[in-house]
Amino acid sequence: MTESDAACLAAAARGDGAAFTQIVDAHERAVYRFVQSLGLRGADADDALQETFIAAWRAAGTFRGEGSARSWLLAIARNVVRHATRRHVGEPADFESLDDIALAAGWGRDPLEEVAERQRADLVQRALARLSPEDREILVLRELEDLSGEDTAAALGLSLAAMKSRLHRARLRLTAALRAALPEDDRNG
Amino acid sequence: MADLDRVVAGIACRDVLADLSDFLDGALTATRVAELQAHLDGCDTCARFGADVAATMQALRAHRVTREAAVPPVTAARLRDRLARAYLAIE
Repeated sequence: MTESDAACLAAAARGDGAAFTQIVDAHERAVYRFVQSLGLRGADADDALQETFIAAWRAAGTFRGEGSARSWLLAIARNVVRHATRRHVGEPADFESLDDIALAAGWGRDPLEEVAERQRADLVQRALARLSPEDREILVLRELEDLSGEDTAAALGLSLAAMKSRLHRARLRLTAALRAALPEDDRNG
Repeated sequence: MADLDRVVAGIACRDVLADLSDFLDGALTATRVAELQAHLDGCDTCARFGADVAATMQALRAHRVTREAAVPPVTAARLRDRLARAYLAIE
């Protein structure tokens, strides 16, 4: 977190619109990319962008600096998207055992070494789109937005331990989804 | 099919699986890394699976945006217009 972000939010909490505009300038592209990565497009993405920064402006005084300003904004964006898509907010129950996820991901079978890098990259993106919203958002935050573990946990409202557990399962589910997307001949060894 | 309870170098495959993400992220102690590496050196199944998960994450990160995509000008303008009203407590 830059010192200027914290200072800008503190000033915004005192009613300084110009200071908050600096926050918008610095982070609007990341927020816009994030809401799109959660599946919103067009007018829905535009609305989510607006609602996120309006909510952030009104809540600027609640920023405590425990994580980065960006993770704080992305946490707000996540809640905005969830409200917009009327999803149940809360940690999903992980009824699937780690063993089952790992077996589906190919533990015990030959790897996918022969798959070309480009094919794998394209297939991974398609597999990501098929994951649950909870799995997709944590992978987007940690792997694509490159937030730290602590900032990812903060953005999701999770303890660090809970974030790590969810991330581990999401990574294995992505690997399983990728395997499912491969042609039959490329899966088994 | 391989058994997740198989023990190699004193560690079960199931336990390696549980620590796999932390291992790939470099988030384990040196002692634990050495223990897991000893297992991986003797367990082809876990070594191949770990490499597969690592390759999947690497492929995902290849799409990591290094330059942030621009917000469409109309979208950016609407956002600032709405914020301007919010700054004045109009909305």
